[in-house]
Amino acid sequence: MELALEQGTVTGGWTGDVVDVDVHVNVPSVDVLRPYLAPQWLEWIGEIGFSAPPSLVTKYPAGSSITCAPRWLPADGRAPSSELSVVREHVLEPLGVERAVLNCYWGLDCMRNPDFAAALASAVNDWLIEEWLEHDDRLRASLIVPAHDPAAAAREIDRVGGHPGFVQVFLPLWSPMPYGNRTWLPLWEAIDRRGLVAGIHYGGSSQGPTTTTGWATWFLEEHASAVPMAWQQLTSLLGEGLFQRFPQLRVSLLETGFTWLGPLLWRLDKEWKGLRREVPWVDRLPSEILREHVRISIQPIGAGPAEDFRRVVDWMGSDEVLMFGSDYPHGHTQDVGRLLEVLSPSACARLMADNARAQYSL
Amino acid sequence: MARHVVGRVSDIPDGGRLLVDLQGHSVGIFHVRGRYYALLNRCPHMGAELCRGSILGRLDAAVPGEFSYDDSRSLLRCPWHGWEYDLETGQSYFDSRARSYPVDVEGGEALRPQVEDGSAAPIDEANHAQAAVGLPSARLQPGPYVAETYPIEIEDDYVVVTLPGPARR
Repeated sequence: MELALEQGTVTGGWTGDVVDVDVHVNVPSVDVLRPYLAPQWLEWIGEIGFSAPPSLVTKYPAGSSITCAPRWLPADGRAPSSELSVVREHVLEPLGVERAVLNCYWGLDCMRNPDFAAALASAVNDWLIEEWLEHDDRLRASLIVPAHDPAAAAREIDRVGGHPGFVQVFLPLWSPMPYGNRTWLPLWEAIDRRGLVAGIHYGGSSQGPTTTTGWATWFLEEHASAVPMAWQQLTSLLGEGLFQRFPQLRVSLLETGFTWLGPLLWRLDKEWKGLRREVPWVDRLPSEILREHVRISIQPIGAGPAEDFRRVVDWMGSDEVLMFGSDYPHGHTQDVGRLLEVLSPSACARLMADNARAQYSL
Repeated sequence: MARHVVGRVSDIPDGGRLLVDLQGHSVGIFHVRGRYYALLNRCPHMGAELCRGSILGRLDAAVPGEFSYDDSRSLLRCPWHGWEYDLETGQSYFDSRARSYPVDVEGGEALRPQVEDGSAAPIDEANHAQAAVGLPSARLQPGPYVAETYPIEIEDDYVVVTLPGPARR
């Protein structure tokens, strides 16, 4: 009864079609990847005593309810959301999900050995295919790439990006340099070549501290600083002209929230009018470009009082931007009903299914 | 329509400009490589003196780093917020348009009868609020304090600006 009630808040009482663009899958242990690793790496794992990439510790502390809501924590000590049967029981069946996009963040961005990082990324992608995508038609997934080697990332996209289950490339929100930077071009060319979505998702690491001005002290700071990071990445993609270079490019922002979007668009439009000459490839209002190319998953919703929240949602200027994502099994979910109640019925239907269908060609 | 003779062609060297008061409005007259333009000296954005801004070529790029620079299309960049306006049409890059006026160059021989019959207002040096802004060849100085008209010499060429509405002084 309590579980059913809580699950009601995940979809806000919505009874129509549901496409869930943010369902998390966790690598429970490096052991599940062994079948997909070359012998030299199996030996290497033993040599260095490798168990998991360390950046998971700061971005998703194991004991935090944000990492896994208590109701979704397996009682027998298994890792949350690491088996298909559990995801079916917790998400796919109770929410009546038509399609779900799996996102697997394992913290590979902090791996400095470029060849080991690439081998692990390939192993995770093969594991996603073998253990998940091949077993349930409702599932789609983001493929992961090594974060410090754009050419290797492009090779991995070409290696598995043609699998019909992969609809997106997972790009951690924190990155060694802003994603618009021309250093990343091989990555973007591969994403464009394969017709995939670039999914910029909470997580990752920069070349330096966790905020652009120094180290955050608390998890609270680091978690909330997803907002300025999302601003920076979007501004970089825009300013560097990614959307002119790749006119078909689609970007999803995942687990960054969205209440900040309207004011960002105002600011970018305002600055562009006077600074356009610097970036002449930005040939129309930034708000038009970003509304056309970018979609955002709803969690964490970050809703304020209903009337204020309604205004913030209106400021986005489009009902085609938001996509429903349960963010399972993360526990920072706010009742989706808070969002649906400020939207028209047609906007609710877009948010719960249509926008994601269009974004991922589902 | 009201035609105003604002100066001799030689008063505005290439790259120069003249700010004049015509019918109670401040108007900038520009000379860029043999072509003359006139714009209301008021940015439609927030009212800045637009005609004190820089003149720049039109810079576009279809993709990042591949520039197309067209200096046959001159843009005037407002000194306050950097908005760019096409000197010829007054059109900005977006939903804003500065007021532009037709400019002609006419010989004194043709012009003198028009000045004499009142269909073109003669040069009024008192209306030259400022001569060629930021240019070494600022020959015209803010006018004397009594209106004084230049004679129209038949051997010279003159710059004539046409404003809408009836002429008034």
